[in-house]
Amino acid sequence: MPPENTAFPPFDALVETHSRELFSYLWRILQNEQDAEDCLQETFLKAFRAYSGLTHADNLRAWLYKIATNTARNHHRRNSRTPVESMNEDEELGSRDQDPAHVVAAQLSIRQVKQAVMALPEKQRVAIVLSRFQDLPYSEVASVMGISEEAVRANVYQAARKLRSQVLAEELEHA
Amino acid sequence: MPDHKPESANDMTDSIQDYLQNGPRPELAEQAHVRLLARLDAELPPRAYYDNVPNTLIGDVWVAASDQGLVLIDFDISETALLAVLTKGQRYRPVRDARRVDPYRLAVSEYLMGRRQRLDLPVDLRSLSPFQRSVLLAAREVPRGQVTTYADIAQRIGKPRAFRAVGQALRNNPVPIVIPCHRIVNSDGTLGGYGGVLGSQRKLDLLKLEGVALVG
Repeated sequence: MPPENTAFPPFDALVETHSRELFSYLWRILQNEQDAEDCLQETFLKAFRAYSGLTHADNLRAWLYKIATNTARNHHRRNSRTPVESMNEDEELGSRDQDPAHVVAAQLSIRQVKQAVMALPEKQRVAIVLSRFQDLPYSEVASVMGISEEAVRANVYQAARKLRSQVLAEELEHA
Repeated sequence: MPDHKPESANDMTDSIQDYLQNGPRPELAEQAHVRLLARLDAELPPRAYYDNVPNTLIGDVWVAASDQGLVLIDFDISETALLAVLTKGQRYRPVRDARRVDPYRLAVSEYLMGRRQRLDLPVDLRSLSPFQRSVLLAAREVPRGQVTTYADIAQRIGKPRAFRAVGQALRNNPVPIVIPCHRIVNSDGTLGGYGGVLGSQRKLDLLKLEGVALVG
């Protein structure tokens, strides 16, 4: 059990503080609500079993992200579904945006966006979501993914580039 | 090595940016949270609510209870150490919650101030072995103001030769004061052990509080 000088919050406090943000994270990288929820539950069950064996409480948030990332990876491999058919599936995005310069992009449907996101290699998807949308600093993304900060930057760069070219391809198809 | 300067957010098209930025609807995250709590309740060890009673006769006293009763009373230890005891062997999920343990804190506090004569609080001894439970329940029968011996408790539970095991079970009493292991002493009249760094002194304080006349 933890040494005296580190403050380990009770496990339930970790759940209360981080469950919503981890759900958002899992939703973003899995693009499927049910998968995100299954992985969220699995993440915290695993975290509980490992919690009493932790030796330091430095960065529990990054530790949870790491478990969530591994859980999502295994889940995805085991059970690779296509993104969920949601009721709003064919809703057009960006409808608030009346700027004619954005009209083409706005014609992308949620289905297409999901496909573009899921078409990214896993490392790139995880890297871009963690750093751009979960607001983890590069150093923490590196620790979550077990790669160097430089590799994180490269993965984010590649992901952004691919998403852009993917979207441009879609735009050309629909032109 | 090329310099991978992070591209600014608008190098993705706005639709993907918006879609990912917005994330799931907040109700989805909230529903997932509620179902997560239900799953954890079903699969993880029970919660133990805890808080302390500061500055009593025997120092700060920690009180922890499940939904069924007290699971731990401890003193002369830090909160971290208390959490370590509660989570050992993954017996409980501790939650600090003063309100949930208020009745216990009040009763213990009043008892230690001498304003209450009895401590008939529910205890939850499910995590203990049947032998340990039988020893503790026998010890609970020793009334305030009296003491008895380890050998006597061994007799009471029908295992007269097991007095050393009885001593061991009482040393591991998770709910001292409420189960009054301080009222059990050696057959030669010496005090015998008690928990914590101030063990014997604490035992003496409790017996004095209860009006036991001590010789020597």
